[in-house]
Amino acid sequence: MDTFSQLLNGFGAVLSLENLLLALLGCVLGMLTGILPGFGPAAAVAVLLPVTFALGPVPAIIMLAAIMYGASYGGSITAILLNVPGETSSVATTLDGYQMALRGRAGPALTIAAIGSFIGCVVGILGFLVAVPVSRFALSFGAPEFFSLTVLGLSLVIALAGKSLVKAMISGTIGLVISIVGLDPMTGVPRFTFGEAQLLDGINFIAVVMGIFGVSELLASVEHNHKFGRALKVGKIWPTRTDFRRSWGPIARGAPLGFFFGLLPGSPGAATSFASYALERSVSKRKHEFGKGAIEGVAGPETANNSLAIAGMIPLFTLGVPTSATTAILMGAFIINGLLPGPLLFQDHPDVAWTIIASMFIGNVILLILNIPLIRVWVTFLKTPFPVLYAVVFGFMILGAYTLDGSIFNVGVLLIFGVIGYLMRKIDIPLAPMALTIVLGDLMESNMRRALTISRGDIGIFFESPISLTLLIGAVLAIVGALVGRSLSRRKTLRLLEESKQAA
Amino acid sequence: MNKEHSNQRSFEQHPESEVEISDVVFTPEEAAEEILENPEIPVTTAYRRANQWGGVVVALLGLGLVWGGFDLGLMRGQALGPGMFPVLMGSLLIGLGLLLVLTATWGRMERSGDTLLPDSQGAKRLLWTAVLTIVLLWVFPWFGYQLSMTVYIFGMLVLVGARKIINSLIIALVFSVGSYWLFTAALGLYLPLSSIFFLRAIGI
Repeated sequence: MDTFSQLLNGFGAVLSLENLLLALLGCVLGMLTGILPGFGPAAAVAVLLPVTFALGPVPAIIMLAAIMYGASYGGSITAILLNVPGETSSVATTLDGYQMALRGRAGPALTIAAIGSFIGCVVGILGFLVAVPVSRFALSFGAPEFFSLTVLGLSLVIALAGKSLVKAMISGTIGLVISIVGLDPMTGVPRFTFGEAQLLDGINFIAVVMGIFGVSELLASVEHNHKFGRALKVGKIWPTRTDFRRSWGPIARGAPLGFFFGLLPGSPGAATSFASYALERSVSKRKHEFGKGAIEGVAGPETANNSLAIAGMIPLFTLGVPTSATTAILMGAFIINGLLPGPLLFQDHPDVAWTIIASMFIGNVILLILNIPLIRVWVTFLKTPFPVLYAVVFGFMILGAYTLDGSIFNVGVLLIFGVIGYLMRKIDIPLAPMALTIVLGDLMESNMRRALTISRGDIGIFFESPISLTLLIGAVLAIVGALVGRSLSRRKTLRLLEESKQAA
Repeated sequence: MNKEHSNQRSFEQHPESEVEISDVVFTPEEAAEEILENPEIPVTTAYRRANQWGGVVVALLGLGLVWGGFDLGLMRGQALGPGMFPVLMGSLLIGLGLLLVLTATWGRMERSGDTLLPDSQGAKRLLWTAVLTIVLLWVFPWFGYQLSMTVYIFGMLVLVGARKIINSLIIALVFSVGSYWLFTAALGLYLPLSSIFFLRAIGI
């Protein structure tokens, strides 16, 4: 039976009342959990896993997958409304999504995020039809290729530099430094832990990101009476035709980008959504709007991160290789329910595999249908008096940080990085590069050292592999292109300024 | 100033209007015009000094990393040691910190609205936020989640938000008790009860 027919059979099986209700319940639970600061898809799936024990294997996986993408969208809601990213891949969404909310355009931001997420999911699911050969390509990524990929990711720092390249690089390097704290990945030696046992596992990324984005934003919002006393504006809920026109391009580009990154084991969601953000900014004719509420800055990253999430399941299903913490937990759920993901899953239980794949599409349809009317509810939340929002969001962030590992230590991390983020704002050091490099730092260092160990110190290993060489060339071109572009644009603007002054 | 540009400024001043920012397209010519029309926040000596100090802090952080990196060891036999990456990052930070100091001293700088210091009321709010948060961290192990968070939220609403006392108490109680039950009963996560026995006995 061909692949497409099996997918259609899967749709037939998933359209039972029980499976539909479980998908709906999973979406709702996942979304409500994902809204809580500090709770991303991985945490949501892990926390809600016991709920599925009483179900059969297929219903359990259907519900867990629904929890996963429900939580992903929940994280986007807080990223847009509160500037608190619910998970790593929502960080890029805060850059423009929150700015849109401040301008009374939270509704369009949330709607485009929902639609982009859905389309990203569809592309990811279509990828299952060509899954196996594509997955095998992804497995050809070794240490040199992953290192080069992180270098390409770091080149995005240049694209996100804003006004000052030096400050952007400082921010990015600080992120790399934060990733150093903890046990050395190769030798197990504690580094910069200062004897503190809590730091042996490193500094928790979620607590850091909540601090530098969420806490610092809250602190900045109480500085002046006109900011603190404001009621956040609630404008139109539905996007305009211009919004849709401007979004289709980023969605079309974000979906394959996220799909590609999703196939790579260990590919960080933050890097993917930032890659999409940087891509949209580089191709846009409205670069100046980025960081101030450009709809492209929401459409692209949201599509990419959902496509990434679904594509990340492909290596799990086809090769038994989890690509992220979330898919690793899902793999555990498979095993608990007596299913072994991998090539034999499609051979021995094709009906199970395709039913679950079909349920992802149905689940995302449910999520879209559920969220479009709920956007009015989420946006109404903005009408809450700001002092109440301030207190409650602070409370939720502290609670979220505490529940990361049940200790007050992460609350301290949250607050310290909140203050650091606030101080960085005061001298215009951008926060986004740090969020990107925190995630990439560990990957970069461990793959660099692994590659150099394999090659016995010969750095030629990074240039011998065609994939690695291509990625490094891409990184160099991205950096040079961004620098040249900024220089040319600046010169032209200054020349025009001079001419305007003379004319005046 | 062209019509589209005036529309964009109108939107920023009156976001609830029908004008859509998305209709504005800035060319470099319009960017130059905007610079003339909208002078940026002036780069003051204090701002430059803050950046200089920022550069010094970054450079010192880099120095600490290099020091620590050498301590950890650059090589382990034939392979790179645990100290190599910190030394590389530390060196980069030293260079970037010094560059920032130089830029702040002699270079061209731009400044955004985020850099403005808080007014007196804002400073008071920040101070109260800091005090309340420190108190929360201190009492949390003693009084448990519900009581500590109730006091915290109440304090934030009354002292920072200048809200009415009764309303604030209700919001604080609903938040603390509600979130406690959501996280413990619904999500199965642990939140501490009070260490004081009679409070613990009544489930607080």
